[in-house]
Amino acid sequence: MSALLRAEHLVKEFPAKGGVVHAVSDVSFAIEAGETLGLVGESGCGKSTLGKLLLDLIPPTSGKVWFKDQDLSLLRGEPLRALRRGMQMIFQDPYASLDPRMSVGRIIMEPLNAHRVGASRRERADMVRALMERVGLRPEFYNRYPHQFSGGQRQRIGIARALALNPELIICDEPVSALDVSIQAQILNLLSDLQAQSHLTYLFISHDLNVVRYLSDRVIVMFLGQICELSGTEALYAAPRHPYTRFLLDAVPQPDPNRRDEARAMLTGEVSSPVNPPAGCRFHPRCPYADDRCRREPPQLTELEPGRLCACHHPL
Amino acid sequence: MENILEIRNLSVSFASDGVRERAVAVNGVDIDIPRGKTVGLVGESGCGKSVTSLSVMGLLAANGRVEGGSAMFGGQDLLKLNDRQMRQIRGNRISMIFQEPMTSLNPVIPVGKQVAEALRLHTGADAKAAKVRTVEIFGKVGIPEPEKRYGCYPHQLSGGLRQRVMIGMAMILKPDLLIADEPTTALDVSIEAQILRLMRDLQRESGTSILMITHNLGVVAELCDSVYVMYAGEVVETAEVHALFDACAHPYTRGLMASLPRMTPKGQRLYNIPGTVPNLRAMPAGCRFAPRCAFAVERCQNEKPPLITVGDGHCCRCFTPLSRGAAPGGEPL
Repeated sequence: MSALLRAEHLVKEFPAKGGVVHAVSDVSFAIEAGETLGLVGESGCGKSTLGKLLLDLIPPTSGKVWFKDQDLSLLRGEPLRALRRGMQMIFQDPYASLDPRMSVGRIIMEPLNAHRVGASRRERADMVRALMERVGLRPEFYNRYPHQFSGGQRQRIGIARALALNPELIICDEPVSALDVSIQAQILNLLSDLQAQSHLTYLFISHDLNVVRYLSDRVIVMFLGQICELSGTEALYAAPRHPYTRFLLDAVPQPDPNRRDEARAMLTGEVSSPVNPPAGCRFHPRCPYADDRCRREPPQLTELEPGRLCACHHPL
Repeated sequence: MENILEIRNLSVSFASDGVRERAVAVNGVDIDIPRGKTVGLVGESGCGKSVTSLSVMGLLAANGRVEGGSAMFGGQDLLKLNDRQMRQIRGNRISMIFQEPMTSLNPVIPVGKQVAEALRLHTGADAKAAKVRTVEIFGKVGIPEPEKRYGCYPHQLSGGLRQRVMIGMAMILKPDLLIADEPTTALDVSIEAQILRLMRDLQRESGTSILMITHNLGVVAELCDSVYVMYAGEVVETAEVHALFDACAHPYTRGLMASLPRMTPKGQRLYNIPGTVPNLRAMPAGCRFAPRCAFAVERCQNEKPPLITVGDGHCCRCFTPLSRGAAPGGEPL
């Protein structure tokens, strides 16, 4: 397998009152062509910021992103635009990410216009209709406005827009979090179908561990701006190595009343702040296994076994 | 078993601008909440689960109206009380927590003071004792540095901490009934697990009954003793929690369960319920789920199914309830 995208020592810091927000701190990984890489973590762990860095929507404080073996930071103008066509994003809130004053047809056509795809407006309109059909929207709805659609349909509009330029990589940032369960299943199936048809690669960002498990080949777990574990999906869910992953998995309420009395590890304390994060291992204030070394020395992400990376002095 | 709340035949409608006909959001709902138990009310957006609880609490929006029914609580019909009488009951005997606790906290009064105030009204404790007790409760619900947080304003606390304040308030007031409307939906999973545990503690200590309104079947399985499933303003199934998860009988419930990614291995298609929820002003004539149901026959299109008993305490609004182990049916979209 070859890496479609590589993140190299990515760092993103934002100035904030009372210090610096360490949103993403030295994150490196690769996304292989054709895979779905899941990215999970709680609010403020930096997962959305990481998604934006990968697409070059915000500049990194330091570090590099390579897409198809090209360093995005060295590209300008037309070559950058051309490369960016290959990477698109789907957002969480289908209500906020669509311009309410634009018809659905225009929303989906916008990227085609911006990148001057197609010879004429009519040709682009035909492409939009084809895209609508691909995502399960009736082409007759071309002239309707976003408010006339349900949440699930609006997410389909966002997906059609992301597909317009035939991207290779789509970063999905919580694409089903705002949807009801039955609608969520429709969108997850659509994403799977599109991947199979067009050999798409996904980075799937979510806080929902069940959804990530269903969709992903590999999973990254983030905590306060850093990767704490990266592993094949089944291995990760069957036997997590990082204590934080273990706690996250145990915390998810499972739809099985027979499991409610199982003894489960529970995290104490609040999510720490990415402003002035703890020294040493950032998880140590909430970790029951933490010792002096954890308080002093940040653990490195190391390969415990082939394909399993974990940043912990005392892996499980 | 004695019921702390009995809702009978509740119907609620809403007016909206420019439309003469009122939309019926809740239609003939019956719910029993046994003393000391947790009852789940589940369904998707717009099914009427929140409207049901808001009408019982007398908190419907101005365009909403209770069309009929009763809600018996301690010998009184809550739907017949005036505002003053209802205020006596809210907080004291029935508490509510919402998805966003910010809506129930006063933004310009420190949280500790708000809780202490409630405590003083409720128990007649003096100011000093109320403060001591509030700090103690804050510690108990897992608020770090409780003395310091006592003086914090709501906006200075995270969503998880605000929800803890609300639960702390409920612990002090020891209500007979706690209505929790999606209390953990906005929270991270590690915080959600802590809040659910706190609710269980509250119940054990005070014998409080809980009505848990949620869209999350995981939360239901975790916390509830019995469950009501709502669809398009009606109860379509009710059962003891194990019976519901082992052998749900209504095709809608079965569809919901099958849609959960948890139940499906990677690579296999997720089951999904085709179509969308019907418009409140254009309800199907027969069974409201019929247009989306893989098992619907002609009768379902024309005739409204009654809630029938399919097992011990297990009722289902369907002419042909599913038997245990039946496939969710229909073709995935």
